[in-house]
Amino acid sequence: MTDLVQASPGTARLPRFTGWLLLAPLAVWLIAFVVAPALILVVYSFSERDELGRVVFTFTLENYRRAADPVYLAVFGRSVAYAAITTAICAVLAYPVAWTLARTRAPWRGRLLLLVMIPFWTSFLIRTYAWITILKSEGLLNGLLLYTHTIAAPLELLYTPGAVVLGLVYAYLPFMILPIYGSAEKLDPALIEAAHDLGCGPWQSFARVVLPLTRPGLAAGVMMVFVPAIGMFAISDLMGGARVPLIGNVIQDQFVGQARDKPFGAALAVIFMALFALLYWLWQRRTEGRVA
Amino acid sequence: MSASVELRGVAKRFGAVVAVDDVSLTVQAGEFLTLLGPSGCGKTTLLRMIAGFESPDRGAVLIGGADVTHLPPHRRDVNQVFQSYALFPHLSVRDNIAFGLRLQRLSRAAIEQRVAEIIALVALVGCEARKPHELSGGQRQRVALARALAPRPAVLLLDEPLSALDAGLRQTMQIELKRLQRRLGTTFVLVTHDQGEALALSDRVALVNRGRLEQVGPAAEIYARPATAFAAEFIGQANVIEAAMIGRGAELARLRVGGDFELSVPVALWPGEAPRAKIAIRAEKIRLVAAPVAAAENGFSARVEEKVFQGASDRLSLVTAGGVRLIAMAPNVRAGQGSFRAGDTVWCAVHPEDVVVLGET
Amino acid sequence: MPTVVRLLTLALVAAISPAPRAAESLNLFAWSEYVPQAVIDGFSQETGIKVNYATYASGEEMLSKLLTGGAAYDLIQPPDYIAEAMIRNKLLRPLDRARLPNLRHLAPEFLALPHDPASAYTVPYMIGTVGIVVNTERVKEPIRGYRDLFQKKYSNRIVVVNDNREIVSWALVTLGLSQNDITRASLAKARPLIAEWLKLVKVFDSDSPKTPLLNGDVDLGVVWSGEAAKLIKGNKKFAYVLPAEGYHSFVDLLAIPATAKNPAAAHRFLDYVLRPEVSKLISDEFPYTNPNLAARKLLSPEQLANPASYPPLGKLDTFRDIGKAAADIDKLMTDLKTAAAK
Repeated sequence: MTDLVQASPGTARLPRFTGWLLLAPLAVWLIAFVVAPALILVVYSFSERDELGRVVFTFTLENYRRAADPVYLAVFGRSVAYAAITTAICAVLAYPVAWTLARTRAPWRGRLLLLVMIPFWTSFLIRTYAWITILKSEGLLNGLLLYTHTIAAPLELLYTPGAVVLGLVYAYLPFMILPIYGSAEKLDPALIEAAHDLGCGPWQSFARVVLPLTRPGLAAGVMMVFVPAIGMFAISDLMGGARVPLIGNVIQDQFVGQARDKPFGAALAVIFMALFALLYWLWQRRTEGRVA
Repeated sequence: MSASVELRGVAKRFGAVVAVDDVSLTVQAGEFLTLLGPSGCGKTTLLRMIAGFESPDRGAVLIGGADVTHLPPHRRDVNQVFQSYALFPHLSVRDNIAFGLRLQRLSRAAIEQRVAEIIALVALVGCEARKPHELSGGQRQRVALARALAPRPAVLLLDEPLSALDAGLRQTMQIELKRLQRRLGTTFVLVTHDQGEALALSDRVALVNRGRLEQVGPAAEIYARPATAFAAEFIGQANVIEAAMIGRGAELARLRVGGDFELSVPVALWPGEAPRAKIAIRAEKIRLVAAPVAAAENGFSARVEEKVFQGASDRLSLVTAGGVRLIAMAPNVRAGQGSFRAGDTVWCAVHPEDVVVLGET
Repeated sequence: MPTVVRLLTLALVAAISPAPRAAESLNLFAWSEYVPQAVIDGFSQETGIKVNYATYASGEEMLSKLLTGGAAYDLIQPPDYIAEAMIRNKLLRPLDRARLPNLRHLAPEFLALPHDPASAYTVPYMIGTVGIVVNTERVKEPIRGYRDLFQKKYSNRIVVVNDNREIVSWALVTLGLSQNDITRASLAKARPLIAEWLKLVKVFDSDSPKTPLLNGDVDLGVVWSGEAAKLIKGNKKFAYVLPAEGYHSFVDLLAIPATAKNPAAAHRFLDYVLRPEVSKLISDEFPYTNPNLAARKLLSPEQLANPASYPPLGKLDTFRDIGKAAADIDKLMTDLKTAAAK
């Protein structure tokens, strides 16, 4: 008995040590690429800059005060609105696709999933340029519509808010499809039959059973689309003609653009991160609340 | 009694596979009918046709006299207990049970009352707020039952409802199911591959084989008078052997069984002038004795080849002198008694009335 | 400098900093797509010096990376106002003119400008202007300057460079102010004018402002002269106009950072680029105003006749360093763009 007692801490320590060892690469990665940059941003955000744009380490709240200026709040609001519209459209478009994928049988399911992922094989920017080729005034779509006499004069498609939303939806749709697919695939078809059996029409079974049970996938999709969409700047530049400054454009301009104000950019980025942390926390709390 | 469910010549193919082939069946109101058969025989497809999850390629489905062949499941007055229970994991026991009631747009008070009633009926009081994953297997089974019964369907369909439970619990639930059915008077249609379950629960059994109905009738009748070799072998343990008529008396006919021993059977059972027919002898109807039994008394000898202890009885594999193989049961009446061993020679006796003549070959 | 290149460099420049090698090498840090590959190859072939070409998409980006000190660059390509700030902060190394005999080819009007009054630190690479491009097939009325351009009837038919300071400078000169007069007071004066203008603009694009003009999405533009020259070269329907109210000229320079590891190679490269036949190669690819008079003699009459490449230049009016006032421009423009988009 004493032998056992003495032996157990030793045997327990070994796997624990190996466990930490296995975690080490992740920890190093997290510290080097997540924690450290975030800390640098926080430090920058309380600093000043000199005339060349170098960061001067002091402690000032000036950057946050400036970020609270209505000008930048409006940009924030607009970015959130664009991201929210994008997310909503993605959700509506992705749901039936993900659902169909999850209900498709083996060989076709793999092929269709591949189709969802094929766009990732090409650079995002090249795909965005392809859209410009399609949407421009003398582009493919206008050409087709003119040729078929559907329209008399070219439609103004490119460099509009609609084009920005289209670009965002196009870029992030797979990030909505895949998590919803993950949830939908796990859903037992018998549950849907049970819902029908108990009197649900198609819409009711969706609202009462399918949607609640795929909500984790939907929520993950919303996070995966909303978060990057809010910070995206290239699409609003390329497809929106840079007419609408989004928060990503403003931050980019502080770091590598003319504004030359890293501390201010850092402050915007920190506010940004805090906002996401808050969103994530609320989401987690909801999810846990539901399980309990 | 009126017909609660009626299948009229229904058929269903899945690709090249014929799942259901021209089945007609009537289930009376308040009846407990079991669709019994081996896996893949089409019994589940029949159930799903009644529920509305499958539509027949041909034929019609009637519920309460109305043709529902083309009605979707949610418009049919039937509810199902699923094999996996299919409880909604995001809803509490109470909400699972109230699910169908809410869709009937009942008043809140009526729903609450019905839920309370049904929860008491299936003995789930105290579990109302729990989620399905917090329940035991038996409790989940009851919730599934309660959920399907709550909206008072005309017909309750049960798809292998007890298969996920362990043996002891299954027995308890069998009793409860039967009790519930009697009390509610609802028509129950149950699907199972477990003959014991079918025999214990059903008013009538519909034996399904290869998409067709093999035999329909009260369990005892199928047991006593199986119509086919399949029926004889699927329900209970039967020895199906070919026999030839060798002498016809006024009451008894003399048969040579398997080209070996002789047996007498009531001549009325024999199919007309047929020279040969298949007969079935149930394992438990073979009386085993150590002392010789005269051939006139339907006796013959055999050697014990193998013995399998089964608790209440021993299951013996016998071979007659002529090479006919038979299964027989030796009840463990008293310790140390009647325990034959492999290699022993035993005498078998079969009462003429216990021989089942299946029909011409 | 398309955004593709910008984003790629954003990611890569920091990671792939030129490593020291056994063979002699030159770390060149220049605009993306501004030094022809033929020039780099020719230099390496002749001298055996390997050129590591790292790129940036804005002068500010270059400055930021240089100051971060991740890598030592031997030769950089700053815009004039950035060079001015760098000289003031002693970030550039004085040139050894004895090693640059080809300096003699440069036209004097591009030397000794305000950013480097003694031409002690910088060598002009290319000179450009920011002017108006008109698609004369679609716009029949004469466009002489900003007031002609920014009219309601041209709403949604205009591309301008996505450069806040540029846009502000146009408004300042239109109001008769100096383009370098970046004060709160002058910005306040310019504000209503800019607000009106922004509502008329369809596309802001610094990387390739010629694209929407070529694609037919817009008919008018305020763009870099090099971009305009490329448009005119391909299609005579485009015309280039230097705004009557005043216009901005810029001088892109070559300079050696104080931290350079191989200033000798940098001098060799500088002198190589100043050779007329090499300088001609640059003009062929980037049709800005070449300050190298000997090189101009090698250009075709057609190249010299391109009004965007060789406009009638008066006194060069270049940007000066404005230090922290850039933040005021940023806020003003962010505000006005947001308002205009509504």
